[in-house]
Amino acid sequence: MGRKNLYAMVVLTGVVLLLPYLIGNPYYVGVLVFLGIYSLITIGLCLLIGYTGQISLGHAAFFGLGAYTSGILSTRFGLSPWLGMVAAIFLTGGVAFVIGAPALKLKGHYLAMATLAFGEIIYIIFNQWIACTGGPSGFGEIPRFSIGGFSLESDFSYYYFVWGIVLFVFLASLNLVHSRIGRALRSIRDSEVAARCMGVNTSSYKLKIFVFSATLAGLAGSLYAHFVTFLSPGSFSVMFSIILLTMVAVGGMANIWGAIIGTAILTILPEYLRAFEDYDILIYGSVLLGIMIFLPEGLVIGIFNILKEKISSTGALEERTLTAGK
Amino acid sequence: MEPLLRIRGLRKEFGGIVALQGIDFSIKSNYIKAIIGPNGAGKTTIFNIISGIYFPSKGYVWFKEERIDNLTPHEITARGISRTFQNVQVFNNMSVLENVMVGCHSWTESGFFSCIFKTRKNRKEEKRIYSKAMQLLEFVGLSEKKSLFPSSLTFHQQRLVEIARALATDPELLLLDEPVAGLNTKETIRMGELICRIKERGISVLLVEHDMDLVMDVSQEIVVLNSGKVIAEGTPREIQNDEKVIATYLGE
Repeated sequence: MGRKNLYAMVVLTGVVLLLPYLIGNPYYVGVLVFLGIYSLITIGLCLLIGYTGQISLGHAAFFGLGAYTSGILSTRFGLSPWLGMVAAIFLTGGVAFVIGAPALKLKGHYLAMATLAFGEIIYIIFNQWIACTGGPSGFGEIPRFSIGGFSLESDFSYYYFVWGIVLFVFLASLNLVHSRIGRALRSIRDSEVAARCMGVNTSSYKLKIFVFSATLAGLAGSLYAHFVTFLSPGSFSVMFSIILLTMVAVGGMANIWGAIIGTAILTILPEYLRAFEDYDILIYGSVLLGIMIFLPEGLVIGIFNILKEKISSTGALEERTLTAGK
Repeated sequence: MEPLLRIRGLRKEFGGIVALQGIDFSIKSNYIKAIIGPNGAGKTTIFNIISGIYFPSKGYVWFKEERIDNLTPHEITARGISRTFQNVQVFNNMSVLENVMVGCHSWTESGFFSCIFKTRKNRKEEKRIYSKAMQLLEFVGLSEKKSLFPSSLTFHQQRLVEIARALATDPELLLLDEPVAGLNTKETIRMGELICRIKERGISVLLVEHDMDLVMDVSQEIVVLNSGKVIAEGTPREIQNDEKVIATYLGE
């Protein structure tokens, strides 16, 4: 990790620590908890789509699998939420392995269609397997996490719990991206045939990063289940997969910072737009359209490039005035 | 002495089209050999079979007395064969340095755990990768461009990045697919010199090329291919005087 990333990481940690105090309003702290949970999924998606160049329209399903596994085990079977979380991670990882092994042989649109179909199948199971999932009306009374005797009941404590995990995953992903494996992943995106000839086992890495990103979604699902304490299939439809994809695209595909920024914009923007009542969707759509038209590489890289241009042009201007003065 | 690479009875069909029929040739250690022939003769297909992108329909490829025609590209790279591509395949979203660092993949081993937690072993390995990549950029004369992206380089420089990246895999045999296509005379001469310097490192070079001056200049032996068959093999002088070759190139 370069020095720039280190500073940015320190700033991010500071913001995460202070934000709840600055906001105060418990409702908004709750929104920030969702932001953290979604960020876990989008960081994984960013590694898969932005860095490795493999698309997935099935991540809402992995998110749902994690949530339902953790929720059902802790509610119906009285398991500790912690064990539920571990089970959620392993189950989503296992399912991703079984789905990914054949599906990742496909490329581009075909991979998108395969993962889309997977997402739809899981969504139907959530709806139809009523004995287990409660069907369309879902099920509730999912217990919260507790550490020792201390329950993570308040949004405030849950915020720090979730964001602690997010910061850890974020740092881990930054390290991964700037490593031997990160370079291998990026080489797959740029030219798969060249990557293979440079000694990168592309099919193995594609599967590994797919499983990794799915387990992150599973983990996020478990955190979600024990936060909202009520699950119904609506939250895990294919539409949510597309929203996740939009978050990654808005922030900037090939940048983990972009994953968090994009998630933040798409989670927080609707809250602010409530003031516009009926027009909120219209404004929301226009903002997204504007970002994609004017900053197609995403907000983070786009703004970075604009700043760089500004700085270099003022630098050139100063130089010119200096030489003119001479 | 057993040759470094030995090809026997190589045949490749695509659907009904026979691209290669019964190719035999071999290449010694620390040697420069060229494959020439008109377009569509099957030169690149041979490269794709040696590097594992295609499986042959029939025939064998041995490298250092091991059969490699049933291995995948990354397994073949790990055994010591590397290549460049006719239509340059640099990684455009990585710096020049990182491009070359990818080449070090086959002889490094840090897994997910050590990459995520930056274990001491990983940091040590990363240093070795960095110094190897820098040394190779120096070798091809691109060390000043290390932080740039390939898209801001000239075509010639992109070719050099590809060669440095291929050398980073520590090959004993380097396959160069038309390394001077699209380069000007001066660049072509410099590429010829580079190919000779690669041989001086103890690496064998197998070259596919249309530029006859370069081929005659650098190669010790030439294989001539026409419609999927070897029609001549020998030293540059022998090839220049071979009637079949003259007929193929100049028309009868």
